[in-house]
Amino acid sequence: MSINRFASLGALRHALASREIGAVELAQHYLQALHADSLGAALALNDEETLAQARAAQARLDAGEHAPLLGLPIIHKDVFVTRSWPTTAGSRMLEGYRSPFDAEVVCRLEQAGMVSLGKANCDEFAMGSTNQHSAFGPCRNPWSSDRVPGGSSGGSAAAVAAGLSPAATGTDTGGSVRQPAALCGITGLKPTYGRVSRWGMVAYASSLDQAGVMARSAQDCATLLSAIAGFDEKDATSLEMPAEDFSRLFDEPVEGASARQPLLGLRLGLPRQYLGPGLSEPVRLAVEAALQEFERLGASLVEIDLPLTELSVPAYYVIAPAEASSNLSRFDGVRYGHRADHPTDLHDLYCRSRSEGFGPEVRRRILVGSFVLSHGYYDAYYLQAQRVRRLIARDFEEAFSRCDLIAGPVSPTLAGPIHPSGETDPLAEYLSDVYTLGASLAGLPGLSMPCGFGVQDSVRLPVGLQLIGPKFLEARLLAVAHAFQRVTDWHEQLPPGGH
Amino acid sequence: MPMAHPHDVGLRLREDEALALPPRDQLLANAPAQAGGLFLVPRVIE
Repeated sequence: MSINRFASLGALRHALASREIGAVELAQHYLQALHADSLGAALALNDEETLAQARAAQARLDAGEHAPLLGLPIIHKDVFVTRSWPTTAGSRMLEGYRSPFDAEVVCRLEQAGMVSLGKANCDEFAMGSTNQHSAFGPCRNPWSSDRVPGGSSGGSAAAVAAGLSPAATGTDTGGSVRQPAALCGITGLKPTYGRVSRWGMVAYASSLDQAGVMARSAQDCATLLSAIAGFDEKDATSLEMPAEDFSRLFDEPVEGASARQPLLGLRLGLPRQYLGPGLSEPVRLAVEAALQEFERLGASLVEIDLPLTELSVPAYYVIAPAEASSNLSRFDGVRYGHRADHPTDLHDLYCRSRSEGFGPEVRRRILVGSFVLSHGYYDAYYLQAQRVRRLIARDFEEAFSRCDLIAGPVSPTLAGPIHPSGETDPLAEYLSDVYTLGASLAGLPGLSMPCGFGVQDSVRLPVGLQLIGPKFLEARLLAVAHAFQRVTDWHEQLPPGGH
Repeated sequence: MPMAHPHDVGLRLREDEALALPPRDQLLANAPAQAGGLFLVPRVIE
């Protein structure tokens, strides 16, 4: 049987269960596509290990096991450490690094029977919104190869969108799952902070970092999240929440709703700050059309206020670099990572190892972070940013007294062009995170799903819709996204060459 | 109140028990310079 590389996890699982295809054949098919890839989506492949995992999964299938992810392939963002693949986090600093253990997320997915295809490209240490800050080359957008896939989980998003993997893990600190999902036309979920273990995730900003899932549909994201969520004693910030089936609210109409209007009674909050100046026309049009679709499904639209939205950019770009400067101090050229040749003394070793190992964007954030934490500036910048963070979190709480979920755009623009010089404008890149940073700062779950297309320079590019929920309501977010995806086919559109 | 963390929960404590870690040679395997089971650094004390 021919394998459709763009099939959903559910469809592939069905094909495995009915023995139309085997797990090894399936893994080989995706590996072949990854080897032929010219987008720069993958950083490391290890066919032998992938096929060994596929054979083990097939043995479990043959023994009659029926786990929902058994035998299905996935690619991991290169910030999750893995024993069988090198882990670089997109940095020269970690070139050739081999972890002695697997990240908890990787472990849980392998226990669920998933077959790891390899490691996906990303911005260096997950710092960036374009995937142009990877030391091992940029990643490109499957919809138009001269445009960025978004970032930092750009390789993960591009791999799923281009049919190189049916699913991917990502990490989201300020929008790094949601924004590339939007720009590549796939579905991505950043869970509530603390929902998924950070054990084995290369740290960027620890009070914001959260592992997420990326796939073609909300249904697939729910299945993946159910496998990775849950308490892990190895992560001090992991929440002690019971296991959940995140698709349990699917097709379960809320009280008073009907089959035709399954979302009757749902109040969707539209922050006026998310739909104001700065939002590009093609994104606005697609988001507004999606909101009308939600109305047809029975939801009511409520205008709400998130007055400090603009301040989420400066607050985030003080807090995240501050935490990064602290986290990345571990790279000293001694225990692991790049070490400069022939250091004259310890100071020379630190200076040159770090200057040589880190790329420009990472160096910029370490410098900013060290500055805002330094004596005399701590109160004015870091403490002030933490105060703003509290106010932003309160605004969300206040907003959720008037609505059930918040809806809006993910990125203000369509995927931008890749500059041939490789140059990026850091401020423009930071400002493009304005709609995703709020949920990150407040620790809230956020989902991005395809909701239409915009045309720029006669190229058709996907637009993402963001749904933000109160803490721990991922199941609700996913159910509402699923209701939307049942009546639309934006998530089933394929990039040029996809068939 | 400055917000340091998304959830207002205290850090957990666990029993003071030794847990298994990867063996020493595995933990040293990524060190760019090592000898005798130790990390090497440039001379610090003359």
